Amino acid sequence: MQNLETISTPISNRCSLEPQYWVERHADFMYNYALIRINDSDLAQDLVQETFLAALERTSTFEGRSSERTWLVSILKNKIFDVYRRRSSGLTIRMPAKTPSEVEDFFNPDDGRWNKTDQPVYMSFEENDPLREKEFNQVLEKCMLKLPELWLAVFRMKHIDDQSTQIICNELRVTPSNYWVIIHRAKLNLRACLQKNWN
Amino acid sequence: MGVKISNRCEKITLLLEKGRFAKITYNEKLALGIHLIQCRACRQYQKDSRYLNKAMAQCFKTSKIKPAKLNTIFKDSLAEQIRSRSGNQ
Repeated sequence: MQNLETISTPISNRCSLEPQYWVERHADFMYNYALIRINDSDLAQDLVQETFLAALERTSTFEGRSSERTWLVSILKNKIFDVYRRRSSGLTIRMPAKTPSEVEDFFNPDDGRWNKTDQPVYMSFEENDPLREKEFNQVLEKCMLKLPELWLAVFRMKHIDDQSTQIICNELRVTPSNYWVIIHRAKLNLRACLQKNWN
Repeated sequence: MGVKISNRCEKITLLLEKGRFAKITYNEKLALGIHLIQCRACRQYQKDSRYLNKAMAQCFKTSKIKPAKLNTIFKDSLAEQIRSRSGNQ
């Protein structure tokens, strides 16, 4: 019953766009949305602006099925993916923006075993001390920001948006096998960084 | 003879990451299990890697908590741009 009603609702009663209120209603939300995904306040600000202006150009494509905010965020999302792609272009998995030694040296090339210096040793991660936890998160964040942008983008999409492996691979143009290599390499680097800077 | 699964720590830890989120073959699981029994470093890696997943998710989430606001000047100029452009249509 209700479905029928929704379908027959005249267009004027559906969600409509009110650009004059966009800034007031959505700008801060969208800014935050962009900021936690790209970690660059200037760029986040630019993206919000670009999104609104692009949205203005295509108000005719808005069908009123979703809310104004959902529609605007979907445009913003595409712009964020563009940033991920732009930042990681030319940055293939074999040539991350790091010195090769940082990436390759975890294992002995001959027998594939851990190098002595890189061998995982016990770290006191899990403690129920809120203060230590806060400290740990700061170190972790620093270590994460040292990762190549493409790798970080993978984790952002995975953890912030809960995107599936397939979507992440498509959006970032990585093959599934490269995807696992990225996760692996990122974890190795992160772990090593923590082992160096935590405890 | 099945496909030989490498016993190198490098391959094993990669398999470990993959196996957490995707399907790996029975042989791969077996190789993983056997290796982990023998290799303390990889066991430690396994433990830490699991914790890192949780911690990273947490880290991304907590950064959501601190809301940032755009500055007023920027917002005003943006609103003005929108006004002038939508007026032209």
